[in-house]
Amino acid sequence: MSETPRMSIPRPLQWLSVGVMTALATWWVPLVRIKPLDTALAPAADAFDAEAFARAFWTRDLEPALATAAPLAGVLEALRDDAASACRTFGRTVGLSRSCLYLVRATGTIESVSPNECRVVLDVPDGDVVTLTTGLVFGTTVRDVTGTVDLASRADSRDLAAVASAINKLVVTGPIAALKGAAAPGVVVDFVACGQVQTAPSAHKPWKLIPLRVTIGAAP
Amino acid sequence: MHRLLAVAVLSLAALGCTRSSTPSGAASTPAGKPKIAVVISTLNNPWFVVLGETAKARAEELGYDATIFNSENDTAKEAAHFENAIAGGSQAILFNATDSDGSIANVRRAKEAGVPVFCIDREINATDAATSQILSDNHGGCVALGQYFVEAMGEKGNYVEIMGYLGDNNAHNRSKGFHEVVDNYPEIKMIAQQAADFDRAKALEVMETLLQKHGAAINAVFCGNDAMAMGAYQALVAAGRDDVKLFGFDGATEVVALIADGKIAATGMQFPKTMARQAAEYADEWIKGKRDFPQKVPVAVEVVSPDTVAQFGDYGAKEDARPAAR
Repeated sequence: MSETPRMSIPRPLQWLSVGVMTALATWWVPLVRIKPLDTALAPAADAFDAEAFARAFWTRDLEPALATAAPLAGVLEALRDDAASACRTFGRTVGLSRSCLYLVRATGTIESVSPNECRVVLDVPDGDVVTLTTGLVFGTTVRDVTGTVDLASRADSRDLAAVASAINKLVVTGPIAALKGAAAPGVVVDFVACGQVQTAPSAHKPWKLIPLRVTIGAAP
Repeated sequence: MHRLLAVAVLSLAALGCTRSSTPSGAASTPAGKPKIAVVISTLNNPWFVVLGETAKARAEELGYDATIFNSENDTAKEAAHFENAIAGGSQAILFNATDSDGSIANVRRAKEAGVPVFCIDREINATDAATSQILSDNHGGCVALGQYFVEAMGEKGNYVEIMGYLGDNNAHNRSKGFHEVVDNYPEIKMIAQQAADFDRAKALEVMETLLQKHGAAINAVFCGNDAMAMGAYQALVAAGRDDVKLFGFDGATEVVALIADGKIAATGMQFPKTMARQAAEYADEWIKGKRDFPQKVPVAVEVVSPDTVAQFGDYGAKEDARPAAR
């Protein structure tokens, strides 16, 4: 009976083979996967489409609601009388909050223009001054002012935060762009806007409103 | 095997109870009173201690025997607390989750056992598990804080961000809300972003490292909570960097005091007492028969800055610590 000769592989080659196999295995199944924070925080590929939600909100919820906006002069008067009562009559709060959201309409004359806002004197006797934002818009005021977005409709609140951001972009590219393009002292503007407030605004600190529909009139 | 598992779960539950009852001081259990469990993610942060203690106190005012359980940021410990609370006959659980996804199973287990869960401050990523979730508007609060940050920075400068625990939605919502504003200003640059798990000691270490690496280039620091802001503050003080503008989030008493002293730039005031009381009251209403609760109740966050600090005090607003409910 003859003995089968054993094939001998040199030791360095053995180590090299082990190294190559280990490298291949860890390439397929890495022991540790390091991701930069920005990648870890990036949305998944099947992420909720906040932009589509925002566009639907705009046409389905916001535009019809604009017709229900309260006269701004009346709201300001009510705020000066009793802010809590004004909120119950004209505004709404979201969850537990000391602030109240209002949807208001008015006509006024632009008094001055600065890079991020214009001051408007309301077209009523002894009209108050308010400011209309012409810069960036942040927060959830526009999303929540109609009360039509169900905050429990998404399990993850980050989705609805993204919706607020997408709606704000629509405001900036829509009514704010229109206002910014035409804003000049003396120009008459008819607008529907929203804003939030805790206490009555004053001449010293006028109410900052976010324009949602703007009609530019002729200078008087 | 099952017996072994049961023994292990019960042992963990017993361990959790022993540890948690010490900070709460809630060892006594007057006979005859219905029980409510208060399960809190961690008691290693004064903000959460206030949250837990307030929930417990309000539940006791309403006639319950309330006990605080400390999950120590560990979902396994949290699971053991839920088992213990359910087995112990708790009629409701006031719950501050450890992990937005990882805590869902615990809430479902309670629901299956007929025990309602009212989430406080931290969200779980499910709308069919908890009876109601009373949550800080972290995103909105950090949008407002971001706007103040831009103003305080004069729209330019370098900053570092110290984020919270990445498994929690709040950490993401705060960061996202802040960046939604700040990223629009090209002369404001984030030169580093690191997580410190909402932990003061970790934030101290992270800030020390960032100071070594970036030194004088750092003009401001944004921290995802006040505990981390306090850790960063310690590191900045030790490095003699009183020129760095520091921003936190929570409304912790010591941070509010440092804002009043001009040492910290601003924070976002959450209302932990408001949330905790509301959760206890919801639980009481549920036990008395009410079943119709809003799934999510956002609680507005307000900016505490040198201009507004006089309005704020002990984890809330001075005059009316409780925002209006509608």
